[in-house]
This record gives sequence, C-alpha cells and structure tokens, in this order.
Amino acid sequence: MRSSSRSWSCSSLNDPGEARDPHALNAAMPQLDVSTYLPQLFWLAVTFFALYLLMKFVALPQVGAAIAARRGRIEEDLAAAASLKSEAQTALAAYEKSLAAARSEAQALIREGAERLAAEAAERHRELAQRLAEEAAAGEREIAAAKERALAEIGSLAPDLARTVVEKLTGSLLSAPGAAAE
Amino acid sequence: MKEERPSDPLARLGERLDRAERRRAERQGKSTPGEGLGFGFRVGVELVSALAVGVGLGYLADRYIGTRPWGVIVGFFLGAAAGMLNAIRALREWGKSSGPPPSA
Amino acid sequence: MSASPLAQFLITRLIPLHIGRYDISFTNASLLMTIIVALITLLLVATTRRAALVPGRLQSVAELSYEFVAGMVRDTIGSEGEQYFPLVFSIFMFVLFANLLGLVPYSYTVTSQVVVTFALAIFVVGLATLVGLLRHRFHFFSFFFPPGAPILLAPILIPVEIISYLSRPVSLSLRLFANMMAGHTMMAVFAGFVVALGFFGFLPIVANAAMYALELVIAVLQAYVFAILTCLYLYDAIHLH
Repeated sequence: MRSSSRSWSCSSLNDPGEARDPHALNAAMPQLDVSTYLPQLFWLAVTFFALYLLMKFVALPQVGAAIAARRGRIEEDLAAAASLKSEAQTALAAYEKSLAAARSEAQALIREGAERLAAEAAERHRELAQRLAEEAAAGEREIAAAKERALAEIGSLAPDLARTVVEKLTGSLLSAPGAAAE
Repeated sequence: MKEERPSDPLARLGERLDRAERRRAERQGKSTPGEGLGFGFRVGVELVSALAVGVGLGYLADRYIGTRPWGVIVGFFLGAAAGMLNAIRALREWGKSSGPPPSA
Repeated sequence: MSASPLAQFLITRLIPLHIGRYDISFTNASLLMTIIVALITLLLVATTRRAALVPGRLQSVAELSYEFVAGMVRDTIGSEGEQYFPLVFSIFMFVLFANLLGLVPYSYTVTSQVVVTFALAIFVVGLATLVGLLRHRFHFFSFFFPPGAPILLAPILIPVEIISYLSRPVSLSLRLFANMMAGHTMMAVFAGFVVALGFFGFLPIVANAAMYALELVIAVLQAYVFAILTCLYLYDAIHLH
C-alpha cells in the first residue's frame, strides 16, 4: 500500500483524447494500471462519504420512520381487531343468553297455556256431564209423572170401556148403571 | 347446530388474528438466511490471502532487514498456519451464524 | 467495444481534473460511483417521502433493504451495533449497486477494480481496529493472543494471529474483486465466441444467459458477504473474541 502511494502522484497522464496504445492495454490487466488509482480512490472517497452522510441523516431516518409507522399501525390494527373480536364474543354471549331466556319463557308460557286449556276442558267436561246428568234426571222424573198420570187415567176409564165392549157384543144398549140410575 | 353457526366465523377470525400475530413476532425476532453458495470460495480466499500476507511480510523482512532467505520461508509457514486458522474460524462462524439450513 | 475481454475494466477519463500534481480526473468509474449514490438515495428517499401504508414495489425494496441490513447488524453485532448501522448499510448498498450496475450492458463495474475493493476493505478493517483500540485501549492487543493458550506457544501464535488479522483486508477485497472480475471476464469471453462460432453462435448466448443469472446471484451474495464480514470485524473489535 505504502509503496504504491508514491505512484499515485503520477503527473504524466493520458487525456481521453490522447490515443493510448490499444495493444499495450489489451495485453495488461487494466486493474494494475497504477495511474488510474488516484482518481478512483479520490472519487470513491468523495462518493462514499456523500453516500454515508445521505444515508445517515436523510434516507435511513425516513425509511425507519415509514417502517415504524406501519409497524405501529399494524399493532394498532391487530389490537383493534382483537378487541372487536372480544366485543363480538360478548355480544354473542349476550345474544345467546337472551335467546335462551326467551326460549325458556316461551316454554313456560306454552306449559301454562296447555295447563289452562286442560283445566278449562276438564271444567267444561265436568259441567257438561253435570248438566247431562241433571237433564237425564229431569227426564226420568217427567216420565215417572206421566206414567203415574196414565195409570190413574186408566183406572177411571175402565168402566166406560167395559160398557162399550158389552154393547158391541150384545148389540143392545144396556143402560149404564150410572145412566139407569139417572 | 344453529348455535354453532354465529361463533364459527368468529373462531376463524380469531385463528387468523393469532396467525398474523405469530408471523409478526417471528419476523421481528429473526433474521437473515445464510447463503451457502460462495462459502467454499470464501475459505479458499482466506487461505490464499493469509499465505500472501505471510510471504509478503517475509519478503519485506528479507529485503529491509536482510534475513534472506529465512523471512519468506518462515513467512510462508506462518501464513499457511494463519490461513488454516482463518479457514477454521470461517467455518465456525458459518455454523454459528446460519444454523441449520432452512430447507433441511 | 474492444475485442479484449479485459477492455471492459478500462478506466477512461471523462473530465480530466488535477489538483497540483495530483490527478483526480472524473472517470467512467467516478461516473458510475456518482450514479450509484444517486440511485441509492433516490430509491430510499423518493419512495418513502410520502410513505404509503401499503407499500408500492419500490418502497418495499427500500424497506426490505433497510430491514435486511438492520437484522444483519442486530444478529451479528448485537445491540451495540446500532451506531454502526448507517455505515454497514452504506457499505452494503454501495457494493450491491456497484455489482448490479456492472451487469447493465455498456456500464462499468466499480468493484472489479482491486484498488476500490482494497480501499473499502482497508477502510472497514481500519475502522474496526480503531473501534477496538478506542474501546479497549492497550487491552486490544490481547486479541492477538487467545486466552488460555500455553505461553510457550506465544512466539508462534502471536505472529500467526497478526498475519491472520492483516489478511482480513486482503481476503475481503480479493474475494469481491475476484468474483466481479471473473464473472465479467467469462461473459465477455463467451460473448466473443458468439461472432467467432458463426452459425453455432447461439450456444454461447445460451451460456451467457445462464451466466447472467448466476452473476446476479453472485452480485447480491458478494455484497451480503462484504457487509456481514464488516459486521463480524466490528463485533470482534467490540467483544475481543
């Protein structure tokens, strides 16, 4: 390194317009052309230093900020999604609870209704049976009365009937004891 | 059956959230996959350059201190040893930094 | 272009400049270096100036490179590496863009010049040495004698360690330079065959297409290797073994 530094201060340089011997160039490795070292190193130092400053003070803070912003946003979004999820879960639980409550209420109502209906039906059945029994009893009583009346009427009709029969048989009018007596 | 229905997409959302979270954590924790391609070449370069430095230093000693021819000879062996050392270190670093290859 | 496969490495002075006896001409290499700096800055600054939440393609590239190097620095050096991140990033991007721009036809490969890679390597190793010296003062020299080694071996171990340390800039620069030069030379040689082979000229074209893909991989890989070795040297300087 040190030995070559002397040759960097090369003053006899070819300008681009100045034609170089192409055969000499083709023969050697251009990388070993010491006269090109100084300009290369100078511009390497200048450009690399510029790059370092640009990266350190302009580009990297900006890129880092963009990444940090996104990362923050993603974290936020994930947290928001998680909280939304838990909210949805509580809502679902509440919904299920109210659904169960409504169902049990409905079942209670149904049971109650059924019981009431059954009770009503039984009541009506009982009433009907009673009324029928009453009606049957009344009918029986009426029949009994009619029978008695009929029997009584038969007793009073019997002498008249006997006379009529005799008259028809004898062909003559018998005076009825009652009529004879008249 | 009907009760499962509304919780199903929620469970799936939960799964997806978990997966996204895990992926993010992974990405933040790790790291750069090593490449095995140029490694053999790297070891070769380590050997050669250490040898060159050893011989070069020996040559300079020969030339300016007048130890000819021992400078180059000793430099050669020391350079070879340093090259071995470099190669071994490179191997060790390789094993440490990259770990098992991602595919295997 | 010239027929020689090595002609592509020629330095031509575009604007001759001198300070005193010193030649600081603006060459094709200087032009490429300027373009490299401009492109890197443009890529990073322009895409993230009004950063979109969902990044576009170029913004993704910018952020990816940032996170890639940040991860490399964090994994290799640790938390103390934070302050060297801009430096490692600059080195990585400079070498990467130099390697990649060299693959653009009619352009020039800055990193195919051994002076450039050697200067970068000397800069990196020198900086790491400086960091180590400032951090550990005289204790830094214990770096050249591994702790626990028998003291009898010191006369051998110490020169070996010193040579090993001095070979760092050599191997660092040689690796990058050789990779860049070898690939480009091969491609130029194959390109020369295209005309020479006449009808069968398509064969070297196919070979060159494959080479081109390989060269792309190598360009990225070498930039990565250069950057990660920078990190490792800094790690050594900070932690001493």
